[in-house]
Amino acid sequence: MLMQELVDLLKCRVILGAEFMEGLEVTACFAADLMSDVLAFSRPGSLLITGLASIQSAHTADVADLSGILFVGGKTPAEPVIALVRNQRIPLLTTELSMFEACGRLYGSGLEPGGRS
Amino acid sequence: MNENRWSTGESCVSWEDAEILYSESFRIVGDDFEHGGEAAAKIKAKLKQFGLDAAIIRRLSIANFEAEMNVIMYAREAEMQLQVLPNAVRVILSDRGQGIPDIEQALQEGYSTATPQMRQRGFGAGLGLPNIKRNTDEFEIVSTPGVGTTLRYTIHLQN
Amino acid sequence: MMVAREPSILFDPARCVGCVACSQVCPTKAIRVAAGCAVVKPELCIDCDACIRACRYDAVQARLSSPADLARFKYKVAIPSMTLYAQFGRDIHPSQVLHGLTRLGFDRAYDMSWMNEMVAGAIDASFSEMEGPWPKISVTCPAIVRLVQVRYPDLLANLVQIETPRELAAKVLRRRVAAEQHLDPQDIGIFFITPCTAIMNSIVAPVGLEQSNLDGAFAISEICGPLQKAMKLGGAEERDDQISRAGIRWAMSGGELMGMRNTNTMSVHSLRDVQYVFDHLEAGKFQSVDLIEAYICPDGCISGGLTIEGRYAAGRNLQHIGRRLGTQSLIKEEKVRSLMREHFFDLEEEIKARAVRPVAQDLRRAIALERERQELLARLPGKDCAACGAPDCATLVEDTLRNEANIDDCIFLRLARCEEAAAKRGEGSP
Repeated sequence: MLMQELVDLLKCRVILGAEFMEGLEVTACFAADLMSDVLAFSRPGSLLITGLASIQSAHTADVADLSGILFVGGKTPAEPVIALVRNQRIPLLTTELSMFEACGRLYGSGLEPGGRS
Repeated sequence: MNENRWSTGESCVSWEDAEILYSESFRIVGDDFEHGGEAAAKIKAKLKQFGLDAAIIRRLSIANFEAEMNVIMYAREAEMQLQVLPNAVRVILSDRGQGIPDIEQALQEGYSTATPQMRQRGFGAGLGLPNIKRNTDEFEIVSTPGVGTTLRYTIHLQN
Repeated sequence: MMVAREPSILFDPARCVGCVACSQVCPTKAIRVAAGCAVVKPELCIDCDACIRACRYDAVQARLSSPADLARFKYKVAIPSMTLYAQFGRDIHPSQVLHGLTRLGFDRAYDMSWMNEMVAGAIDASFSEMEGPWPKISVTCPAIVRLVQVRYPDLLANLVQIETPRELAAKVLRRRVAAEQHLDPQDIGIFFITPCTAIMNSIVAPVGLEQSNLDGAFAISEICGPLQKAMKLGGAEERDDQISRAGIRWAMSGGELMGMRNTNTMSVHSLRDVQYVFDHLEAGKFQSVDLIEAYICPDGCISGGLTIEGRYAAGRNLQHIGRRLGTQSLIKEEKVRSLMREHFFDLEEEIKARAVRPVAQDLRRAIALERERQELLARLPGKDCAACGAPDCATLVEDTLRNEANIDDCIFLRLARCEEAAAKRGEGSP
C-alpha cells in the first residue's frame, strides 16, 4: 500500500515528511507501545504504529531502520521529537483512530505483520 | 568486593590484543530521558560513514539503545565507548550506579524493576539485557552492587 | 573489454573565461577550472549536456564524427534520430528528410521508427519473464545508463536487458546493405544523426555490447542547414519508406511507453527529476512500478543539446507528422515474439558499475579516509565558492584525498595565511 493511501485510509494528519512519501510503499507494520518489543522483533522497513509519543519512539524508528511512525489515539509529539524525526527523513503521521481500529483497518487491507511479537 | 560476572559467546580474550582502528566515547547521564537514544544515534551515524554493513549497524544500534536506556533508568552516569577493530565492533559501557545484584535474574525476559515513569517511555519491561544478548555475538556483564556495572558486547564482521 | 572513454565534451580555451557556471551545474562534479579554463574528468562525466547548456560563452562543444571519418567507408549510411524529423516544421514527410540526407554525402539513409516499435513491443512482452528488482529502467538514453553506472550502482540490476533500437537497427541494416550492395560489412559506415552529446561515447566505449554497430555520429544542429537546402530540391516522391507512428514518438518524453499494453509505468525526464526519482528508488520506493522511461534531457531527445528547433515546437511538429502517418502498425506481434526467442533483443554483456571514486573496501582505510575527510572539511569555510577550481568544498576535499588537488588551493585559507603573515610583520615593525 502506498503511504499516501494509508494516510487516506486512516484519515491521518501528516505532521512532517510529506516530501518523503512519494512512491513510498508500506508493506508491513509493527504496532507496540513497548519500544523494547519493537527493537527486538520488528523488521527493517516496517511502519511503526504506537501510542508512545516520546523521544524514544523517534530513536527506536532510527535505530531499527523503520520507514515511518504513526501515532494513534490522536497523540501529537512534542517539538524535540518532531525535530529528531525531521533529521531521519521519514514521515511522521498521527490519526484519531485507536490502536485497535488503526491496526484492524490496515490488517484488513492486506498489510503484513512487520515482525514477530 | 562482591563482583558478579556473566558472559556469553566465544571467549572475549581473543579480542584483547586486537588493534583498535577507531574509538570514541559518549557520556550518558542518568535520569536524562529527554536525551535517551542520542549516543546510539551518534554511533549509528559514525558507523554508516565507515561503510559498515547495514544489518550489523542495526544490531549494534539496538544493543546500544537498550544499554543506553538502562543507564538512564538505573545508573547515575556512564561512558559508552565504541571500538572498531579489524574484524569486529565492540562497545564497552561502564556506569556508576546501583549495580545488578543477580545477573541471571536480570537476563530473564520479563524480569524488571522498572518504575511507572520508565514504562511510560516504552522501556522497563525486562527486555533490555535479553535484547542486547540477542543482537550481539559476545556479551559480558561485570557488576558490583553499589558501585556500578560494565557491559562489553561485540559483533563480528564477516570478511 | 572496457574501452577507455574520452571526454564527450571539449572546452575551447580561446572562448572559456574560467567562470564556474559549468562546474557548478555538473551533476557528477566532473569539471574543474584550472588556469582560467575548464577541464573535464572523463571518468566522472556522464555525457549529459548540462555544461553545454550552462555555458554563456559557447565554449563547450560535443565530440562528434568528422567528414574524414565518413571518407573511410565505401558505402555511407545515415540513420537519423526521430528528432531530426522534428526540425523542419509540421508539413514534411520523413521520406523527404531521408532523401535529403542522400544529397549530403550519404549513399542511403534509413528510417528506424519500425525498430523503436519493435523494441517497445519486446519490452512490453517480456515483463512476465523479467525478474526483480523493480521497477525496470529503460536504457535508451546513454546518459541515464552512464548516470546509473557512476552514481547509482545499486540500480544496475534495474536496467532493462534489451538493446537500444539504434544499435539493433544498425545491426540489421548492415546485414541488409551488405547483401543488397554486395559489400564487405566493414566497408559500410553507419552513422547516427543525433541530438545527443552522449551518443559518441555510447559508440566509442559501448555499454552492454562489445562493439557498437554504429561507426559514428553527426549532430543534428550541424546537418540541419545543408539538409534543409537539400530537401528543397525534392525527389523524395519515389521513396516508399514505411514510417511507424508509434516508433516516431520515441524522441518525446513518454514515447517509449505510449504503445505498451503495460500502463504501470512512469516517464521521468530532466536531470533533476531523474535524480529525484533515482534517489527514491535507492531508498526502496516506487517498487510497485514496472517500468521507468528516463531521459536526461528535459523533454526527451527532442530537447537534446544538439538540436535547432525549440523543444515545444519540435514536439508539436512530431505530433503532426505522426498523425499524418495514420494508425497502422508496422510490426506483427508474432514476429517480435519469434525474435525474442532467438534472443535478438538481448544485451550482449552485463552492464557493470564504473565506480570511479570507490569507497575503500578495507575498514582500516575507510576509517583513516573518513577521519582525514572530516579534518580537511573542518578547515574549509564551507562557502562552496568554487574559486579553488573544484565546484565545492567537499569536492576539493575529495580531490585532495586523491592527490589531485591541494587543500591550500582554497583562497580563504590563503587569505587567512596572508593576514597572519601581515600581522606578524606588523608586530615586528616599529
